[in-house]
Amino acid sequence: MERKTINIFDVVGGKAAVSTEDGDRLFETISAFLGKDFEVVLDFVNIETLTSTFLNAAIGQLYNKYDSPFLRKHLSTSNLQPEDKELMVKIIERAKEYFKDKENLEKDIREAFDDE
Amino acid sequence: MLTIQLPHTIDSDQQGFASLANIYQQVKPCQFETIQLDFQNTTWFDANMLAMLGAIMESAWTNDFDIVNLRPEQEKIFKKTRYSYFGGESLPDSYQTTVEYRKSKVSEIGSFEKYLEKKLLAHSKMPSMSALLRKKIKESILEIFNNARTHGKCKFVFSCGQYYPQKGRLDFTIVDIGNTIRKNVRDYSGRKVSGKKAIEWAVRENTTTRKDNIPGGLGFTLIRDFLRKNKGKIQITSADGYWFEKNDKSVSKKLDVFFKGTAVNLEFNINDTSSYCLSSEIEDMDIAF
Repeated sequence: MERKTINIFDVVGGKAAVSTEDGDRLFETISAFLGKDFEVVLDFVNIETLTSTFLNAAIGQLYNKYDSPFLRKHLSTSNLQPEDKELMVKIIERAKEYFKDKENLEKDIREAFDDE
Repeated sequence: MLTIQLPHTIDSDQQGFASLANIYQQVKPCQFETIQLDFQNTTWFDANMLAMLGAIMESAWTNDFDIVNLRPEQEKIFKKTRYSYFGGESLPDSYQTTVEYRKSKVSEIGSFEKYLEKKLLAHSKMPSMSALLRKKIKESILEIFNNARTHGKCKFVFSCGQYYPQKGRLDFTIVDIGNTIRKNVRDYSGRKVSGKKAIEWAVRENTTTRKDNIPGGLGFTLIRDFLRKNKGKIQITSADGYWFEKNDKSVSKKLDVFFKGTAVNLEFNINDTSSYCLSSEIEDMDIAF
């Protein structure tokens, strides 16, 4: 399998990966290489600020297209700050739940609001 | 001409938000009028709350606003923040207790991030906080900015901050005049949810009104987790709801006045000496996609 390293600093043009647009662009880039069966490495070197918004768009969105075993085989990260690794784990867990929960949406809404 | 008397004090609390929402209600029907904001009785106005006053004045932009009877010490503080009413006129902030007022286009999160870096985190009066605490403060504010953009569907975000060095806290307020949390939750759920209940739901872990292919529902959770450790406080006012959390205790209330927008106040404990060490180091290879 061919390997492609994507430099996040280069994608966002700086030290802050914070916007949905930049996340979306990264999602498109990752998808393009995964579509060609590349092994993709996301290099977060010199990224100092990271938001859930960016990662939801870049990484969370992938779970609508690919399943977990596929992504585990094809995707990895490097140079994430320790606290950002914790955020990444939360984003992944949330994405898996989000796409699963879409089916249970009506039940959740009933539980939350039907006593109103 | 409409004259509005401001109250005795505007603090960063439920009463302060309600007083400003009340001004919003009074200016909302006005068009092409002169509106006088009379500060005669006002002895204190938390500088960070200028974010909400600025948003309200912007929402009624067809009118002419006159700020009158502002006490000299108040005017100084307003000018130190470069409050836009004074046309960007500024005064030196020798004690550096304010964080500049700013009206940001929602599309310009990059320049908002630089503003936070320059005007907030590089502030000379900020205590020597750990790099991680600074990063967490900045990321929390950016999460709120993104919320305003994604959910408020507004054009601008208004922000302003104030340091209270003796109390060891920094208050930073972010306001948008866009879709309220109540409207978003009502549209999403198809239920006539109250403003109070809508905020309670929105701040819960893993809830989001998004229905597209980008997951959401983590922003408030991350901020709440951080502020609990930091011993800070978060307050939200939107539609007819008010909610706050401090010291693990959250309280929600109905506001008697309606505010067509969302105001979030984040209060950070800047003397926080927590190391924010993680319980266990995660290796890159351990991230299980």
